[in-house]
Amino acid sequence: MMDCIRLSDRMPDVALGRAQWNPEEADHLAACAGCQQEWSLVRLTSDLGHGLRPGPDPAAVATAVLQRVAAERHRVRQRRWSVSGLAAAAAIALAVWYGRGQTGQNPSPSAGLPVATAPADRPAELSIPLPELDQLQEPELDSLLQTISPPLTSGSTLEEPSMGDLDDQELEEVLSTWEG
Amino acid sequence: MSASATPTPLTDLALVAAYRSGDEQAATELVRRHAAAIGRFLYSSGAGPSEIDDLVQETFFRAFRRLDSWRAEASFRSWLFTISGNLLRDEFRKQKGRRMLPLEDHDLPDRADPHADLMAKEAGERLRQGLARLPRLQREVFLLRVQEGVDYQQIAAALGTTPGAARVHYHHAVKRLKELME
Repeated sequence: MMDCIRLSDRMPDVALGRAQWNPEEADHLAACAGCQQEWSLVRLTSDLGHGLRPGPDPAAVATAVLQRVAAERHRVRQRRWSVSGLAAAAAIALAVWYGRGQTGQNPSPSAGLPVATAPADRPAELSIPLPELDQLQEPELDSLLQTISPPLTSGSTLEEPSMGDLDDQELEEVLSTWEG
Repeated sequence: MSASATPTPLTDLALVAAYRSGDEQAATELVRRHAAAIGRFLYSSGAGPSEIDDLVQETFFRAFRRLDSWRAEASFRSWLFTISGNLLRDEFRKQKGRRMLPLEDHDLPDRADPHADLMAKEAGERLRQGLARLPRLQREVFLLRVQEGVDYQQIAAALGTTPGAARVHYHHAVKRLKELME
């Protein structure tokens, strides 16, 4: 049994012409049907594909491969630039939009936030995107503020004033603070 | 009169380093060294002869695209074999299990004895079919060992297993192939 394992280990090298059987191994091979079957299999496998026609010129293969690698690297770079460009454009758009919110003609206490919503302690009754707020006239805006902030003006214990509580001079001061 | 010294061929590691430094001739040399062996490996694993050139090119493309992932623990050729094995697996999946492609007559050399030629072809085809039916690890261990003479240490490094496990895979492959070839 030990001879079979040793012979098995040597078979690839002998099949590839890197080694030869010694007399003891040759005797074992001549007498062992299992090893003969394995040896036949190993020889057949080591010869498999030797009859294939030669492949294309290695230089042509290498050139084609390197061109593909270069093209792919170029594509990857372009994709990175595109993603960076999109990210930069998105950042600029966001900054402009935010800036409009900050310097708009009709600022409100919620200006600069993406959405004006009802206070958290009440069910959401109102959800108005800011660009719509920008289009409102001052009386309409005041009216809207009255609608969404009654608890602050009537019976609220909070001391923070709402926009509706400010007179014109106070409003000017707030505006000048926001606009720098 | 001085004896002309034969230049020592660069190792694969040195060629890879040269390629990384911009030497495209090094890439050509790597292809020249390994393309035929990769072709035989692909053919033995069940690839059709007409597909081999494309698959060899794809193997080198994948290899050069991510040379950084070659850790020289395994030989460059063994690493290429694992890439070829992955590639072939992808191809088999695309073909939904159609693992064997017809052997094309013009790809084998003519022999003087037509009967011997036929017998050899039949035996070769049975062996290819048997190899294609083996689990991937068994097939790759067996082919690396028998066609390339790679030792179990190197095979283990290339295939991400242990030398002992590689030896077991080899003997399982032999056992199954013996059964399939009977």
